[in-house]
Amino acid sequence: MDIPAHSLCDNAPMAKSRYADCLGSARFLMVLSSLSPLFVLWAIRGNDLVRDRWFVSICAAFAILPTIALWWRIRTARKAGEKRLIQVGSVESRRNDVLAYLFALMLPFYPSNLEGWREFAATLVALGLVIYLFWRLNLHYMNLWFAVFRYNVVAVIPPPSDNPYSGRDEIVLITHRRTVHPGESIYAYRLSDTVRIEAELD
Amino acid sequence: MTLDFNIDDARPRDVLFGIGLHDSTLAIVSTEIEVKQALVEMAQTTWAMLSKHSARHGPPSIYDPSETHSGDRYTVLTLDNDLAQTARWFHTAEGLPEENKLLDRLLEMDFYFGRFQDQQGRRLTAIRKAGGFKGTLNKKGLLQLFGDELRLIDEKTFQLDQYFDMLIDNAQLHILKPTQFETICKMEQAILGAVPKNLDVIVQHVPFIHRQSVEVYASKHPRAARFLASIRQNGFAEDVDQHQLMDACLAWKIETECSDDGVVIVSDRTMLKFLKMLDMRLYEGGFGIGPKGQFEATGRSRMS
Repeated sequence: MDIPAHSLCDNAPMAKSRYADCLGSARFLMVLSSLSPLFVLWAIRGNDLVRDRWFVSICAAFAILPTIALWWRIRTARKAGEKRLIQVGSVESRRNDVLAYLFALMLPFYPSNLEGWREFAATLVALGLVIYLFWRLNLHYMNLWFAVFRYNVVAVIPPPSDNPYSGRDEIVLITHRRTVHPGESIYAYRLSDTVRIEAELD
Repeated sequence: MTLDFNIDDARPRDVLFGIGLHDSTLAIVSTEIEVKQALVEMAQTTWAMLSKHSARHGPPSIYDPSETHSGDRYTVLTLDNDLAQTARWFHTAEGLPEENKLLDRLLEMDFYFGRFQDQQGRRLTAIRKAGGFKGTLNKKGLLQLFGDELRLIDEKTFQLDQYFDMLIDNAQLHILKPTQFETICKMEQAILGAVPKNLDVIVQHVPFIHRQSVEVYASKHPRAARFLASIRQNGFAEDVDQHQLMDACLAWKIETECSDDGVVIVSDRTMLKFLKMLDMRLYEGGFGIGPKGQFEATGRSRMS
């Protein structure tokens, strides 16, 4: 029988780094995208140390580009058919995390003004800490745009299983459903290792 | 033989690619759409090969743990069989972790698999042992055509094969290469681990056999453990008459000892022969059509 062989990756290290880094950077860009309201507020507020033209441009770039990257990530996952079946064991609402989100957005505003370089540097450090925490604690699913498009965010815990290969990790599901019930099976696209967005149109 | 999956559909609802490492790590790896299509073609080719085998050699036989396997042989095993436990775990595992970094550990790869879901929601898992190709990894021996010239590839490369070693649907395993199935599903360890369970069933039919001596021996000897698994699976211990068994032991020079309470203890020296006898692998020749004597069958199948 004449059967063609298929090459998975003609250049495996390239493919590996593309996927691994792609999702690592996707997570980082999702963090930045979740903080986009902060950059909008900064652009409106302005800064005496940096000329408005530059400061507003930079803030606009930070507000817009990561969100475009997020949209691109969703598009790529859809195009590649990167669907995963999520078995719902139990569900936890993530609404309480909004408080943490608001607190994080307000944190860089703690100085009364940004007129001195030291206050400005302190604000940037505070922002860096927020980004680091969002990154480390996997809070990158909190995004104003999900709320704008009427998505809900829930944490899905898989059902208990005696299968040693079954995953036990909690998954954050972004969905239009008002409620997610235990026992349901939901197809979702993979945005990062821990975040999925429900595949509704397929 | 039918497959509980719509294998003819070139575009199943979902296709996943995953790999298993020697340390029992099992994970999903992201792939492009072209790879998913290639996996579907591989599964279709595998089923075509199984169907062709079935058409040529008759219906598939049930996997026999004591049989010596080699090459392609279409065998089946129902998913609820104890021997299919590892394969069942592979097939039913949910929420597998996503580990694209596993591609860094290509040399540790034990097998790779495709997981498919058809439009009716039925699942098919197809597994292939990662074979000799990985031996050439990182050795400057692979060539690729760049433009009109051949160049050496000095990077890690992974290539999909032409077909899978086995397919698992929701009802049973369709095994094309039994030896690979045994390696992938670590059957030797599984069969050794199943010795007490198999003996539980067997001694119900032959309660006069000293269980402990058989268990101790079989736990240390994989071949004996395979015979036990086969005896249980094929029901060879059912309807065994104690007197006839003792006569057979005498005829085959199997050393036995009878305790005061009537329990038969088989000596370790002849334990393997005893288990072979129960596994229907010893027979006598003669009847005027061949040499007289005692023979051992390395392979056998039930005629009726």
